[in-house]
Amino acid sequence: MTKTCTILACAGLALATLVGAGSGCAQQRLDPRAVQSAQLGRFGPVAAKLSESLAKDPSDRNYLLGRVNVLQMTLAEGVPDAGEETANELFALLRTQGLNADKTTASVVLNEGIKVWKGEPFEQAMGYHTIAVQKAMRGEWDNARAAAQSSLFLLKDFSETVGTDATAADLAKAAAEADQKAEGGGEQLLNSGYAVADSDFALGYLMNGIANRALGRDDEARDNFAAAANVDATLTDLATTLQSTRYNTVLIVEYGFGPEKRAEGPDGALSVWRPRTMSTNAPLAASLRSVSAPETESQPVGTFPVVQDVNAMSRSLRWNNLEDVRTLKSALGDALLMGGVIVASNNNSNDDAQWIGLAIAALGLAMKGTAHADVRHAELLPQRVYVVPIDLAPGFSTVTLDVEGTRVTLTDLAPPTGALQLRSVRIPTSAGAWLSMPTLVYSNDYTRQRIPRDDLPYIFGGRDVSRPSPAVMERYRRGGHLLNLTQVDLENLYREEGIALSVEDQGGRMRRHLLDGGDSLIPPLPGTVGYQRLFAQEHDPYRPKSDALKEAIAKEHQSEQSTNATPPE
Amino acid sequence: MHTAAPILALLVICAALPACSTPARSTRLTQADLSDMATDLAQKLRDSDWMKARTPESQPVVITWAKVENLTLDIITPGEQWYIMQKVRDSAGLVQLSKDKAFTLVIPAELKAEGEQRGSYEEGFASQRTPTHRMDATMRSATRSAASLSAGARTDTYLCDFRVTQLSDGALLWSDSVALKRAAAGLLFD
Amino acid sequence: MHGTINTTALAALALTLATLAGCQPPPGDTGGRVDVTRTTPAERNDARVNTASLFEFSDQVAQQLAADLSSVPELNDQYRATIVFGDIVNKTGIVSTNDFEAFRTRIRGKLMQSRNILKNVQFVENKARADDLIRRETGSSGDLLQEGTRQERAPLNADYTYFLNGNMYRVERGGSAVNTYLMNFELTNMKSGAIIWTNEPYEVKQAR
Repeated sequence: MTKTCTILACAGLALATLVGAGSGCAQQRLDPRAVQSAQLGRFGPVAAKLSESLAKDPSDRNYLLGRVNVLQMTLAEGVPDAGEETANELFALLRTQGLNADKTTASVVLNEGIKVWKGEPFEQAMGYHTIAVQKAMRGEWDNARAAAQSSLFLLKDFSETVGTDATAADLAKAAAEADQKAEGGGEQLLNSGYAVADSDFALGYLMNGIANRALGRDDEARDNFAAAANVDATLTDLATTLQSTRYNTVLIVEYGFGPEKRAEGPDGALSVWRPRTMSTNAPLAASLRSVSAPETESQPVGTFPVVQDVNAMSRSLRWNNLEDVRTLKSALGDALLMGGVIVASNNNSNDDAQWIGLAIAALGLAMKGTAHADVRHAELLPQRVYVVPIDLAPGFSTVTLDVEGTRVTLTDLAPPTGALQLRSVRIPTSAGAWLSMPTLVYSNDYTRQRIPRDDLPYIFGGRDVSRPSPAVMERYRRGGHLLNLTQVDLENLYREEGIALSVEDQGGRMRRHLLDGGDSLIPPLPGTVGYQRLFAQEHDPYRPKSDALKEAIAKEHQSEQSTNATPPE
Repeated sequence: MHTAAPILALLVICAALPACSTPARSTRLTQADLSDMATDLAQKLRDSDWMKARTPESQPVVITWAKVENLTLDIITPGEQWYIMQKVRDSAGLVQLSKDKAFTLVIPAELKAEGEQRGSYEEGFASQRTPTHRMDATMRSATRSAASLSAGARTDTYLCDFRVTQLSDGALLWSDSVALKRAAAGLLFD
Repeated sequence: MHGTINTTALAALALTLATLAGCQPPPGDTGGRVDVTRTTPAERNDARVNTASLFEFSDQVAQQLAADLSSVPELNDQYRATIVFGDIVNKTGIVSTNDFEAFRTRIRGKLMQSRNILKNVQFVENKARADDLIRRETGSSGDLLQEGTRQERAPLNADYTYFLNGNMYRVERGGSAVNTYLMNFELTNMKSGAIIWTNEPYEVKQAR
């Protein structure tokens, strides 16, 4: 008997240790340096770094979360092709149902970290939206439509049960009281006490409308634009513009950082969303000028309202799953059982402080095990999104965006070859002067205007980071450079340096650009912040690694010297 | 001993049952679905009256094709869209059939343009490309889900409509479709 | 007893040495060399199409083209047909185009071993590569304005020239756990864009 007790005690201790260890593992947050880098606008390096540690197994509990973060940063950098694998994997798992079917109960009782992270409904909607943006940036409007439509999933509306502005605490209280009246009454209320409601994700409707318009499906486009205006009357003018006016470019502009999920209350048992970037209604102003025109000749495009406030979504009962409600219901139920009374706090506002007050009072009375709230969340979501339609004239244009005192300059924008193009523009909160620089200092695959020293590759000491092609080699030769190298020779030199020339060479993932000290020559698209950051500011000179490149550089210098030494005829 | 065997058998059955009856978790099209749809369409094309009526003496036509247009709620990558059409072409043996049926297949415009952009083709490549007909397909879907979100049931029905169109006047020379349905259970947000 | 042990120990030692000798790579080989058609553990866990499949595929294409040569009228015309490397449509997303180009070169190499084929077909470098080589070998001037010094590959007769194009597609499911590759090569006429020959469908499914 004693032996049995000892065994049981040891097993209990082992279990407690496991749970304790598990709860530590469950609190995975991004390295703060990743968030800081994102604030500075270094989206590409952040995406590349996060890509290195992406979980490979879809059953890994952070498989989805990692991909949401990587895709956000990849698109912010402006390299949608490098986001293709990530976006497809993300879509596949978001569409998977019952992901935590066997783990839900256990996770509520023991440790929420056991669950595969799929995100709150609002995070899932933003996930689908991000995939839609990735597809649209690649010109895959049919797939953008599929992803945008998927973001408009039906929601649970408990307003008839607990009122229109109810919080999670109100619902938990109603469910706890229902449990008191009848066994299982609370769970029944949570499972059936709602009306199925259409989504109010305005950004999803607009994105779906834009995709349908690009496909020539005008009726469906109109319905979606109308739905967006119906959800938010402040979007009526924008919806009309998107429906009726001529434009060939759409900018999806993201600002700030979305809310943070924190564990609060006794033992951190409750999760609370706290804003990081405060919500405001500050409009975004856009202007446009031809690249050859002086800056003073910028033409205003218009001012655009906030389309989606992610802070507001995080506060809405519709946009959160019910696991926290269940935790709170359970604790409140215990309080009622012990003869406690649930008293609302003095704060009658809709603020989260009200339900925290309730929770703390209830949880102080009884706690089940170490049910630490799962605070994993998509930390790199923006706080707000704007949608800016622009009609670009033939040739190259510079677009300027102003919001909350931050100016962004987007250079080298040309009209699309097809009907419509889309760009994701993530405005960093602490970027340097490069963000508004109107001129570039490095040439790339997309540059058309001449830049000093663009007739020599960066790896040779020049300022060109174009991928080799017959046209690029011709430009080098016209400048008197690389006369003895073929295109294949140059490609081989890049390979000797370990530099990837295509997304396939990178395994379909993101890598740091050469100018960032990385090993990729894949450029961001013009009209993105990544393009601006890489090509509008100075970078350290390249340091050759291979003997082959060092030899080629030496030959190039010799050749330059002999050309300079030869007197003109 | 008498009770052990039935209990053991019961345990085995109980262990096996969940594996056998595990519901599908996604209504997305699988690779086998794409392949089967393409093979079915290829068979229909070969057996079509339009194809059967063609002989070596028929008026020669020049046929091109495009990748599948995706109007479903599922993401079908461009590679998969081209895969479907390639499979239809290959399964129907169209290149081999072309001589006996007086038609020529020519490179799709989109692939020609991509190759030119890559610098893979010399100047003037396919300058005399003059298709008279086009094969294309559209994939659509209809989604149904349970009224109660707590039930988590979803069904997607996919329909792939294939067409051969005469480019001069838009006349539809042949069209047929294949359909399949996928059902899944489980909550979308948990 | 001791004698038995010594004999046994010696025998064991001899056996061990013999086994180790068998483990040594053959003379002239470095360790780790594997037959090209074998799939290694690394390849088994890689989502990209494995090289054994690429070898098999390129073999099949070469064999089929050789076998079909006599039945393709365009390759049995009054003039010898010219085949040039064309475009590789790579929609796999994760396999480098270089991999497919390498095996396309292998196909050409196999075909060029057959005199029968070379009677009907000549292989010519594509213009960009040929011009690069000519420039390097003839040391032509870089001054493009100077007449007569710039050398280029001779123009091709578009009627009898065919581009060897490849199409590579991938269908992925299960988070890249299962990948199906569909690969094909075809001959496309330079003038009309007509596809005159394609290999039998080659599809391979890989599960990790």
